[in-house]
Amino acid sequence: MRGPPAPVIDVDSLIVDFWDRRRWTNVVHGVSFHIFPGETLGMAGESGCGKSTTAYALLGYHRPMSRFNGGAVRFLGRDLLRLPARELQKIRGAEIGFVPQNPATALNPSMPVGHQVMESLEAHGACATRREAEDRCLGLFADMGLPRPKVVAGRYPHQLSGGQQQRVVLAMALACHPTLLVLDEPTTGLDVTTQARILSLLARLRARYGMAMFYVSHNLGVLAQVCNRITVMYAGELIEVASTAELFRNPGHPYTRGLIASLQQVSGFVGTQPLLRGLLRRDALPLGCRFAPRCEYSQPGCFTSPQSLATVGDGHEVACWRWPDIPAGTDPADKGTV
Amino acid sequence: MPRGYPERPQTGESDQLPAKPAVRGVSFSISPGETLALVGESGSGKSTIVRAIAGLLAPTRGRLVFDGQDITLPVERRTKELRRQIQLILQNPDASLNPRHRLWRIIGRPIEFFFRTSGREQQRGVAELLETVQLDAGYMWRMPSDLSGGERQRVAIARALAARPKLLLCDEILSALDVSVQAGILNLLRALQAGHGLSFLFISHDLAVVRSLAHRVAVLYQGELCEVGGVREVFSPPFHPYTEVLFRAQPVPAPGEDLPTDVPSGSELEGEEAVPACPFAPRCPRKVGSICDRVPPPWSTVSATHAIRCHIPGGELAKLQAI
Ligand SMILES: Nc1ncnc2c1ncn2[C@@H]1O[C@H](COP(=O)(O)OP(=O)(O)OP(=O)(O)O)[C@@H](O)[C@H]1O
Ligand SMILES: Nc1ncnc2c1ncn2[C@@H]1O[C@H](COP(=O)(O)OP(=O)(O)OP(=O)(O)O)[C@@H](O)[C@H]1O
Ligand code: SF4
Ligand code: SF4
Ligand SMILES: [Mg+2]
Ligand SMILES: [Mg+2]
Repeated sequence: MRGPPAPVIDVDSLIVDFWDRRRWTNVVHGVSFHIFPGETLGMAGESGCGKSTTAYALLGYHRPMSRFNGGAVRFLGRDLLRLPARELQKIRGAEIGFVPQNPATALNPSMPVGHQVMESLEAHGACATRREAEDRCLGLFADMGLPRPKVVAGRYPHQLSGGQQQRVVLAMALACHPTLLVLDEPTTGLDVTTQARILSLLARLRARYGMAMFYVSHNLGVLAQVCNRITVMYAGELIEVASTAELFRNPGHPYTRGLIASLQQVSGFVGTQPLLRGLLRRDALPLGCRFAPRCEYSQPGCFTSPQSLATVGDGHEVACWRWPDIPAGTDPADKGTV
Repeated sequence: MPRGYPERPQTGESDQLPAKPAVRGVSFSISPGETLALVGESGSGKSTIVRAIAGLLAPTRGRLVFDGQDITLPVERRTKELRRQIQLILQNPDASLNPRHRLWRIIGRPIEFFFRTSGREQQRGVAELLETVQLDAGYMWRMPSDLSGGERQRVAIARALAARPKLLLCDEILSALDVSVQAGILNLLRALQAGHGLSFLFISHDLAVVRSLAHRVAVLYQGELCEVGGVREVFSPPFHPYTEVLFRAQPVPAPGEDLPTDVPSGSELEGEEAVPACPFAPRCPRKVGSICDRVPPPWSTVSATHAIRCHIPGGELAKLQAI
């Protein structure tokens, strides 16, 4: 009997807190999702909503001055939040590749970048000989569209442009053919041509190795190009999960609608009127729906009753009790309040 | 022109590439209250140019002029006033934020250094700056490591603004920010320009942002300028053949659409010596012939404010690109 495949990673009610001067402040609040082999799951959301914090958790890692305060992150069945540090070390880099938001932090400033990639390959026993490691490294650099891979390999990080550093880090994360690749804003520093090249490379590698990917980006347009499914985060909570096509065809949550509307407006973007009014203020979150202060459709009840994901269609979940009342295709920019 | 920055830095800082400086023969100027956007693919030399203007690296050849004054000097030899007037926001903010200091120190330092303000008043200044970049004043007690990527980018913006510069060099300052925050920062920059006549040299990969903010646009390809013009002019035909490729590669913000397949490969430059006279020749879909490899293309003026550097004259290009 064949059931659905086991997920590569299964995040269950993840809670992360940060120490903010005198007390613990919650940043990621009960987030759950899973990724199947060969699948790419995207995560979109506003600056500071908790995307990187979630991405780090997929490696069983939390930043200084923060703690896991509940939940589990099961990678192929093993809970990374409860694994000894030595075991985790073995998994990171080999089985789970990571591209952090700031590529420079992933590079050792005092070593030529080619050495770093080869060293990582050798450390994880991915290549039998130095020669093989070098070939794979140079091959990856070429795939990334880096000019003259040999020259780039001999350079120190500071001798590379921002986008070149970013591509070196991507190459390093891909080098061991990880089972899961965690990407935190991996193409923000890249021009569209280079970005398109990287995105199609990722798609090819995913098809060839059945690699699963978690792709964080504030840019829904980029996620639309690479993801099978997309999660939208707001103030540390998931507020919508859907397949990419469904999310664009039929966005349920008012915040998602605002995001999509501003994306469609981008071509004629004048940058004066954001379609999403206001900003995320963590110090002023209501007890109920966290989006309520900014929501065009909010009603008094929204401020007091917390919202959580509920299934609204096939694989489509929305955290808004009013979603059936919000007519499809309503432009969140006009005051559509009933 | 009261303030201009004509320059032609020839930075030969690339040690392994003695044959080819990262930036060659680039000249442009920016007027007070003007925004010049610099666009071009990864590795084309954009950051090198702003770092040269900021005095962080010395041009091999060429001159920088600011307010009629030669400023081709490393930053240590520039006057305090000049350092205040030209502020750079780096592409990677992490490198420029001292990890051991809280934000009130990081942002407060330029206030103290340039305006001799301290104590309460300085703290008020920091709080105001944080608010202008849409961060809560309470953030001043945090360390850079307690911030998200986009929050750090905004702190770097706040710190540069603390010096009340005349020329702000912005290297990809919006790339880590989502649309809502981006719109806020863009409005802030516009307001500063309108209120204080600030000039911007603005580097961005996001052409929608460039279009909405810039007055003029300069297109860089492998260290050489290939098109300069008013924003409307650069965004409509005739295009330089590279500009044309660049604009066509804009991602389609819709799901299900295929990625562009005929993406021309990145900044490939195979032979070390065989740098063609037109750097775009190896990838140019409109290449005329061997003349492009042998003879440096001339600048042709399309209008008083719009110039394209190509062997195909502007009028010809317009006809080719009309369809
Ligand atoms: N030590 C800390 N104390 C308090 N808050 C913190 C601390 N560290 C991080 N935070 C906050 O946690 C929130 C989430 O950060 P995270 O890096 O996950 O955001 P993000 O979604 O990746 O944002 P961006 O798109 O800007 O990178 C931010 O608002 C940040 O300020
Ligand atoms: N210290 C250095 N030594 C040698 N080469 C360098 C050095 N710094 C930069 N380069 C090279 O100079 C070229 C231009 O780099 P620059 O950082 O200006 O590019 P950029 O246009 O800002 O690119 P990006 O969009 O990726 O940031 C690149 O090919 C880079 O590898
Ligand atoms: S629950 Fe209410 S406030 Fe929250 S998104 Fe839905 S309508 Fe808006
Ligand atoms: S000079 Fe020749 S190769 Fe260069 S852009 Fe013009 S047509 Fe293309
Ligand atoms: Mg982040
Ligand atoms: Mg750069």
